[in-house]
Amino acid sequence: MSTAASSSTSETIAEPGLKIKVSTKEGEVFELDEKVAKMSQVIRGILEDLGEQNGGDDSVLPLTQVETRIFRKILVWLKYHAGHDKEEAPKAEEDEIIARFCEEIPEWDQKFLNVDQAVILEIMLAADYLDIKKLRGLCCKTVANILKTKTVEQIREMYGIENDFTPEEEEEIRKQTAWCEDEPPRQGSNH
Amino acid sequence: MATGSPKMEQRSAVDVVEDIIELDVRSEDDNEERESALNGGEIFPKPVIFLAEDETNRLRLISESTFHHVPKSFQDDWRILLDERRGNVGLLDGFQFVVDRLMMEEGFRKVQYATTESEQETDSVRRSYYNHTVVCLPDQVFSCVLIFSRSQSWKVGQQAPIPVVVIQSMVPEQFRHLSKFALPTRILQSTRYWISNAYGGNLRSDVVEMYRNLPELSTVVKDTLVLKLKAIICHSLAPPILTGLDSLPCVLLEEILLRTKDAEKTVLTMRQTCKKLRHVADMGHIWRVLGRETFSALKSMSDAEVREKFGSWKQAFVTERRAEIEEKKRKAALEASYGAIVPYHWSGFNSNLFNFAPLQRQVAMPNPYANLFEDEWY
Repeated sequence: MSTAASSSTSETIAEPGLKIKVSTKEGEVFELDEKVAKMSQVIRGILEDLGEQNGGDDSVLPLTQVETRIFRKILVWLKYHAGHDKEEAPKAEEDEIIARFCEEIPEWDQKFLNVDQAVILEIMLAADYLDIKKLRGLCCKTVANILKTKTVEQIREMYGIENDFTPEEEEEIRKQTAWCEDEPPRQGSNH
Repeated sequence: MATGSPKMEQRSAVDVVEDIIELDVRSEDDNEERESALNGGEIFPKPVIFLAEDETNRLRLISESTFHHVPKSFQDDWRILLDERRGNVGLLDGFQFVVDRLMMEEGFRKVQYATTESEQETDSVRRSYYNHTVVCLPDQVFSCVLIFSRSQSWKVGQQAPIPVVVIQSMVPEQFRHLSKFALPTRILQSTRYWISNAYGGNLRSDVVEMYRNLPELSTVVKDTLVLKLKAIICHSLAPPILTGLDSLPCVLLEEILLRTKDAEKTVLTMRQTCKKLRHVADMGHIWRVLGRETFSALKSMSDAEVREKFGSWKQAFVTERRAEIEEKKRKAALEASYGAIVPYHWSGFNSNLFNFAPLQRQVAMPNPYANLFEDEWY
């Protein structure tokens, strides 16, 4: 890992009391509060590995996959949640899956993710890279909620997906999913 | 066969394999401290094979007696190793030898980035750096340095002119798709467990056993370690270029598909958009989660039970859904023919005294307390 990222050409955005330096894809250096930085499991892991070595020099953790404009957004999210989230005990896998289905997106996060679809995907990728599970989940949930109401064609158009099926393959897929197409409308529980 | 010191013999096979895998994970100081604690002051476990009195070595003799188990090319390389080490081949060397050999076959080239004399002395086992070149796309060739230690990445990163890919083994299992900077270690873990199981309690003291099982060990190490490493490196060096939803990594697409209640419709819609999404939507894990979430009959079934009864989780889901659809159709047909029979106490009212609202096209069972002469009664 290079320590050269803190070169004189890179802009350092310092905030009082912050300790961990990270650099984005473009080489821009950010100084983060340790609590904020450790919300990323990647940064946490590196810091734990480095142990005593950490903080004693000008080392900069390079986040080579994250663009500055996306990192700035993520930083906003991290700072908000560092101040508002309570420590949660880790859930069992089954509980987590159920929670995934049931959880609602909090209002603040809804506003945060009320951005262009492409930006949501970029935030999702960056959150995955940085291993910020909660943010990644929120992005996935947001996209999933959008997808739920769209047709195949609408999804292709909205997310720039090229239809790479041949007509024969499309017919085959149609046959494969025929089992659910003739399903009668679901009866609600309020009859 | 001669063995190491009594202190070392007390250590379990699992300890030793963990050493092999985890030796390079921690920083220098941590490693030394840990090894020191484990071995009573020794940085490395002593080789388990020593020169015999006649200056031959037992490993060579035993390996010759079991040569027919081991591929010829492996035998030759093993002999060279023995000669180089004058017979002092321990399990660490043996395992490293196997890994090196297999990685070489798959295009990895072992390199050294040792900077100090002392590092060079201990480099053979502790510093496992590999150069690797992968062709990710027809027009994209990437090279990287693969190392097994995050702390070392600082040092190597300054010397290597190409990207450094780091394997971590101190990270949670969920840590799966981190590009370029770090790689997951589930593969290492699984290799470790396999080796532990395969060799049981004999691993520490029996390098001959390892030699005898080289073909099997090689297959497993190659499948679980080397080939997966290649695939992950390829992914790491050629991170997805975000052009659309389908360019996201599979793990994220999978998570998107399983993030909404009643996700079945989304899965089926996504399945029809393009080949990659069809692949993701057809994964067994998706249908297992959907099945368990949707049908109580599948909730408690294990993978093995589902495989035996339905063949796959997808088939299990489809079967259950079909049965449900057939049942609904049957009810709908019955309702169309005769009208639904709704007992008065099921009609949504708590009291059977005021059962005035049977739904259209439904025939309510007579309320014994109803006034049959009221207009609204029908």
